[in-house]
Amino acid sequence: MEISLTTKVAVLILLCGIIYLDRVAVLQMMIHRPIAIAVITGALFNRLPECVTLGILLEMLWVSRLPVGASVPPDDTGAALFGTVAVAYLSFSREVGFADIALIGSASVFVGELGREVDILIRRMNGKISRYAVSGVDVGDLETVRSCIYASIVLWLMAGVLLSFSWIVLGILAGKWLVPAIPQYVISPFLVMYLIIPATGAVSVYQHCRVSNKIAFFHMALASGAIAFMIFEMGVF
Amino acid sequence: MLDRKTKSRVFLRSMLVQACWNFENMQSVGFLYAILPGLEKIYAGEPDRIREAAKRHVEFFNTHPYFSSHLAAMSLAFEEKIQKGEVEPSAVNSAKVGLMGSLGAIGDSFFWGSLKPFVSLMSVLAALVNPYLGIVLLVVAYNYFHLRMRIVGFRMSLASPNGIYQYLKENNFAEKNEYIRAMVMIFLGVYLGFFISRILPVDQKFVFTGIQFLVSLCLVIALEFIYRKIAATSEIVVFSAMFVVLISLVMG
Repeated sequence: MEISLTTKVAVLILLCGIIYLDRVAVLQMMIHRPIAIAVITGALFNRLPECVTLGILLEMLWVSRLPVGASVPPDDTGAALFGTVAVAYLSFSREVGFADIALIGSASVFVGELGREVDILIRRMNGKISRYAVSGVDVGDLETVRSCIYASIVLWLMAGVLLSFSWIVLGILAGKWLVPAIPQYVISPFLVMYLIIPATGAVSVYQHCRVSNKIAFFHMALASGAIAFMIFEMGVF
Repeated sequence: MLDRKTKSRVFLRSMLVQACWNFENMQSVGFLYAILPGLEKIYAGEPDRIREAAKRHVEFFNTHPYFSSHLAAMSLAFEEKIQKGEVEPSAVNSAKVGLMGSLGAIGDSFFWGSLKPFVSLMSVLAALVNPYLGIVLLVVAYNYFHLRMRIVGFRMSLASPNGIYQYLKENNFAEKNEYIRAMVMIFLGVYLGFFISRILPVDQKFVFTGIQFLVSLCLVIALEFIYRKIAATSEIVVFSAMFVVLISLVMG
């Protein structure tokens, strides 16, 4: 039985809404990482290679932006969701190249930063809920604590579903109309972003890792990795 | 003593410690929610003492979410002693406040700073072979360490108020960090090497490919400098993309 595209989109909205909970509120089991979102979207739209290529591109970008103290990292789940949906929809109309993926990956950065603002907003709303819980404890009503936790989870879930809906709609618009309307001479130079995006993520991890001999480890592995992959691409093996 | 069911409930609830995360008291409501079944068991039939204990634990609390299980267990171990009159009620908050910052720093450094990039890189490289292998590796490898650490730490911290120190002593996180970060550096190099290889024209002449390869290396080194001195990740990507658009419009 063939599942319609609308049903797939609805399933993705619900699934990603639940996955959004994993970012902060529940478990933190890493199912919200861009690579996981890319595999889910790719499998659902039957565009696994294209979506995974974008997932790999975004995976390391914000990995070193740690949620330490009151710091809130960008929404890489949303960025991956927007990007992979856009790539999938673009691939329905034409062949997708690395430059297209890099262009969509660059646009995903705005989604990540926008999602971060929503995250901060929810945490502020949680402040009101927590004040209510504390006042409940002060008067000896412990049921308030349970109710407030449930309220917060519902809030995170609703926000997750809403964000998923927004990013998927934006992704469809970008993949179906926006990117195909951009002339090829603007898209082609974006090939360089296919290196800049992962390199930016990689250098941020590099700078944050304090370990002896890191310069040697990193640059040796980089050179040998590049050469090995090139030989592999040439079809030597 | 807490029964098995109560311990399980506290452990599972400690996974929701960030549910009500906010900028005012951070994880305190989530923490109180986690230990509430334990408090109700310890002070069974003493509603006033449950309320007093709840007030003790609704104050500011912030640590690494994975170590909240340890601190929940340690707090309950203290509460058992408080109930018996063996320690002062203020002792639990002193221990909690003393540990939450250190555990936060250890957790941020080990889980967010080392394990997450390491497993992310492994899953990315595995996804190049098979995307499903990548996602399975990500979830299984990461959560093996994560859940094991939580379960073992929870058990040890619940056994006695000093159990958490024993746990930290047995698990030398600094040494583990060193090994994992060395692996991160290697995998990071391979990851970036993959992207460099992708943008190179492999069907062109060897010398041309070699020059492009060196240019790519220089770009990576330049990005290292820019990130260290000038801008953050998002800014670098946005400004680079704007630069690319500008160049293409001028050239086009």
